[in-house]
Amino acid sequence: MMGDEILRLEKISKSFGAIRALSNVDFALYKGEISALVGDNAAGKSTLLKVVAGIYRKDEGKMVLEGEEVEFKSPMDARRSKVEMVFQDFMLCPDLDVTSNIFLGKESTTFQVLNRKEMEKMVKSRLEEVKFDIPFLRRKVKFLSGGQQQMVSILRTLLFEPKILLLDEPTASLSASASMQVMEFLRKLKERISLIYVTHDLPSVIKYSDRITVLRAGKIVAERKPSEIDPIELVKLMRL
Amino acid sequence: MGRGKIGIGITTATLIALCLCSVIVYAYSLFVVKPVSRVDYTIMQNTIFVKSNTGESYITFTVQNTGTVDFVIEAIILDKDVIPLPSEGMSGSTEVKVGQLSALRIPLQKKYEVGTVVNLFLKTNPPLPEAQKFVVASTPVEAIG
Amino acid sequence: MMPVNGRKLLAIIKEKYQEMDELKSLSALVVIFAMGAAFSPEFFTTQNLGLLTGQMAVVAMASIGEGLVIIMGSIDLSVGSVMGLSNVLGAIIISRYNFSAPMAMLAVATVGGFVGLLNGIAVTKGKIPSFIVTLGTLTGIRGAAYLLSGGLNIPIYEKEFLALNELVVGIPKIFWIYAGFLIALSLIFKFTKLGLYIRAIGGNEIAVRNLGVDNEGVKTLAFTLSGICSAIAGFMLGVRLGAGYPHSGLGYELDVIAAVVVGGTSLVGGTGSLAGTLIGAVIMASILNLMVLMGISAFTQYVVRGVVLMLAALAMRRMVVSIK
Repeated sequence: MMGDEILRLEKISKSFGAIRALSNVDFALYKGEISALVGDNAAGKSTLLKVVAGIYRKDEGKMVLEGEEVEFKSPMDARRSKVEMVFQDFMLCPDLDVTSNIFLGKESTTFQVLNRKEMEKMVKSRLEEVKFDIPFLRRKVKFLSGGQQQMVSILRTLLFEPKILLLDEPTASLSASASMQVMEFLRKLKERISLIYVTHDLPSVIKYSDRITVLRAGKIVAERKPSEIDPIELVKLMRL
Repeated sequence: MGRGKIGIGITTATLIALCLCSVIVYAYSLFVVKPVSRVDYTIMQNTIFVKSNTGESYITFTVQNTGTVDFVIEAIILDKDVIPLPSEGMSGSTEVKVGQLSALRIPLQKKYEVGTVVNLFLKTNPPLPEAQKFVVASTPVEAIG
Repeated sequence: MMPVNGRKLLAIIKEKYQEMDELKSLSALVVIFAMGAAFSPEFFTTQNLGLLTGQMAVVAMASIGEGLVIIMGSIDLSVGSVMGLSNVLGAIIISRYNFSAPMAMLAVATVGGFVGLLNGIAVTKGKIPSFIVTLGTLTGIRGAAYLLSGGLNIPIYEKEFLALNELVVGIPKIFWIYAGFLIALSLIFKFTKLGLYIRAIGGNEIAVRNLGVDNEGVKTLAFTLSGICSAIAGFMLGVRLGAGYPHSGLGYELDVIAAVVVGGTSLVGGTGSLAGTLIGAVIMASILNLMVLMGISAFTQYVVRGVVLMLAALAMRRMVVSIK
């Protein structure tokens, strides 16, 4: 069930040199919602997510988070405001273990010395909470399966109780079964967290999202509820 | 604090730490230690040449001042023979400043046999410190002309 | 929790062996020591092992800093030149200005640190690849060494300084100095955020940046530490040579990088340890030592060292391929 508005983007524009990646985008996200962003390549979907995540700075427009205008100058600003992002290629450091990857950037330390035991304890309790098992937390992530790696990437974002979770093609590198596992997990999360996810997987968009926003050439061209549309019509909207 | 500020923070902290070390070292050099006055030199390219037709001989060598004070070469000593400087017919400067080289050519009165080796010592003012009394250059005797 | 059967257990053990790069290098070292014992009766004498530790201390010291930079995914080619500059500077301040050995070490370490800082700032703020930056400092700093010394060799007679070559428990004091630095930096590398971020940047710099971690400060600090380690290595070289030579350290960057790679650190970054650099330095020094004891010619020694380096790099590459 969708609640109040949690995030509002007004007239967001972003250019990279001569390329206008986003043009006057108005977008809103509601509490408890899974909002999907779809569009062809170079439609501006990932750019929009990265602006919200603080990776890119917007050129124009306003971002309002829980009623307050915000300006994210860096990813750390966004993370401090409880906006976390999960990346398509997981953004994991292959030679660090699961715990180190989950806490990357937000380590628990005492005079710069890592509190490994405390961090591992937190990871274990969160894994139990979300009912997901990753054996051997001290194993380097390069030895995990694709699905496990993506879960580590998602767990990293969940550890600090985000309000908004941004996912850039979360299942693009996964097998069909792993994709389903991840999407089912994400659906459970929406009780506590609002999600925006970018994907090319149109059937999953219809199945899992509460609202679908279509982008084309940096502009929003349509917004639909899943019940109002099917994949073929979505493709037409993406390409028209 | 944004990413940029943290970055400058670590770099600035590193710079400050290095500057602090520099200050410590500089203060040490100013207040604790004094430059050492020491005579030190290296002898190079030393050869005694004997003219085949006339039998005249002369020695050539280069002295490099590797110490911390200027010195003057008061005499050269070949085995046991002392030749005070400056001597007649010599070329080159007997005064060698710190870091400089001096090339000398000194005519010799004594006859030296070609193929032998003679030990060359220098007598300097100021003299070598006690521990380094025996800076000696083995000098070959060669024929010329 | 999944049940652990025999095959899975074997896979885990194999994985642990692959994970711990030091184990592979240590295995190679054991083989070399076994060869030493087999081919030369003098190899395992106290005198020879003392000689070995003295020989490897200089390269091993510089390898600590180089190891940090390579694990981070960069490279520092200026190590040999920084060694030369600090060798000359140390000789000057000790022989001409009466500096004590500890203060001289601090002075040269500070200068080395500034060189490293310069490298780090050029790489991070200037966005110039580390290979190019440190190639530039390799040349520039070597020139500075020649300028400072006037091209002259600077003999050192101070007893306190030369006494660092004396043996303690059969091993030169300079090796114990190196051991102290190795332990301190290894602890920092393994247990602090700095060490974690160095490995993280080497593994996936974009991820580190996108997660809001500063990578510029960490990279600059790693280059600074490399400069400091190289400078202290140059200081140790002065102890061994008894003088400051402006051409000292020439070509050492290759030996240092070889020690790091042979010790199990990948040149692409992300993996490796400082303990591995010790093992790598011992391996390279042992091979050289053994060849000398066996009377192998100097030219053949160069070939053998090159082959060892290539084999180590090949072993690392095949390891990566087999995991995928």
